[in-house]
Amino acid sequence: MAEPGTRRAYRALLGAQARSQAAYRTSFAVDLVGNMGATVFDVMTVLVLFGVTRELGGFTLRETLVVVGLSSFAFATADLLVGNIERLPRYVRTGLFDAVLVRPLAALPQLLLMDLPLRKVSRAVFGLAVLVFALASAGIDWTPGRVALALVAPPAAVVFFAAVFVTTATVSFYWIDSGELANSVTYGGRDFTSYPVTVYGGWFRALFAYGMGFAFVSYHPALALLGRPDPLGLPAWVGWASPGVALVAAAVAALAWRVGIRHYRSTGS
Amino acid sequence: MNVIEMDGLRKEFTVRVRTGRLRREKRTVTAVDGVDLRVERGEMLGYIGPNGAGKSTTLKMLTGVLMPSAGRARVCGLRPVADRTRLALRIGVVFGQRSQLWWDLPLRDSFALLRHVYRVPSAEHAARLARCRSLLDLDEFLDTPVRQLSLGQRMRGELTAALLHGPEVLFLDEPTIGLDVVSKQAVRGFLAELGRAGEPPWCSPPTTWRTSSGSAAASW
Repeated sequence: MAEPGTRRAYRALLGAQARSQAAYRTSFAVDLVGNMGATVFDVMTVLVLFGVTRELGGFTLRETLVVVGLSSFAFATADLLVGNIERLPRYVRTGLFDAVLVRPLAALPQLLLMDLPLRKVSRAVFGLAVLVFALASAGIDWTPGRVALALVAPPAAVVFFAAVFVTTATVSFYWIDSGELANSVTYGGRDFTSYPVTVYGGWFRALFAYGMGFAFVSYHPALALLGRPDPLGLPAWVGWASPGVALVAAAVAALAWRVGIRHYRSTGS
Repeated sequence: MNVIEMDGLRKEFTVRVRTGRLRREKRTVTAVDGVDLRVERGEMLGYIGPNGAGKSTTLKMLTGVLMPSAGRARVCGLRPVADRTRLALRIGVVFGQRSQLWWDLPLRDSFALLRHVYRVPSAEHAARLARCRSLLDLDEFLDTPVRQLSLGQRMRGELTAALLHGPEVLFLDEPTIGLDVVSKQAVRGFLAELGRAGEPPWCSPPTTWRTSSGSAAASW
């Protein structure tokens, strides 16, 4: 979609969104601070846990912070970029999606740019700060390979979460009142990836970590960065698989979107 | 030359009907049942029927919003769903119930944005906007945010928005719904003017497709 005219069109949509939000200036400022709070609490939870225990699933505080940092940066950034796809059920229910479809642009980028929640920038910035602090203080033995992984794993995790947001939102093309189901996977996934997967057990871990692939967001890359063997026995290269997993997730999301849009039913006149 | 062609165009929806306390039954409802139609360039067509007759559904299949269940549709020689974005550059659509405008921005800004979205050269855009401004009396509310416009004002804005890229076909879905008599007259007068004028800034009068649930006499 890299044609210059198209790019200018998308830029114009983004600009309009920025100006629309500026129309409600005070509420924008309040949102900016409030959103920061949400991410701070995620990290606080982990700190509080380590106030009562020295280890969590076999991981120290500094090691766990790498996991938390990856997870909260990736989730916050994906939420900023594509999180407002959560509004798809509303667009579908009210038929506003019709108006999106009669414009000469791809539907998904339009939806995302039309109400990009700029107030969520504060969260992503905070997540990045936690990630950088964690990487700097975890005593990582920096090899060229690990430097590369530290640069690739966070964007891969962002792509993965973005794919989860899109895939779960497409359910609303079939089943309009599906917002809560989507939330349980997206926010559930965020909470799941905030801790080493060793703290979870049984079928629950199998489902979220490997069935849906959430273990590749933060847990396995963190193991590879820290140079720790997987307590669950998976080989070391699994930590480097996160970009591949992210690409697969993106392909699934793209397919789900294409199929979903053909099933769009619109609403009455 | 035919601008719109339909052969056996059909749309079915499955709906679940409540038949008992918990039981629900699947039923197939045919909203559009095999429509064949040819519309030539420059024609003005009224598509009239009672509520629920399938007028909007037909229009949505022609504009690429809905995928037909069966049959064939061509608009400007393109397949509406498969070639949706290319078709969108050549048609204008007004849904009486859904806005194309940016709610929190002045009308003027929406028009400027649409120029980028439809990639229209600025001189053409300016010429069409000037024409609409004079025909639809937009000047008094051009700087008002869309959310503060009256329905009649907004509809005049929507019509302009649908015409700024010089569409070959203009689809109007209940464009006068909810409007008072004066505004209805303004919209109707404008459409008549548009159909008559083969003059620039529209090189040829757009083919106009208009749905209406009112009786023919009352709504034209």
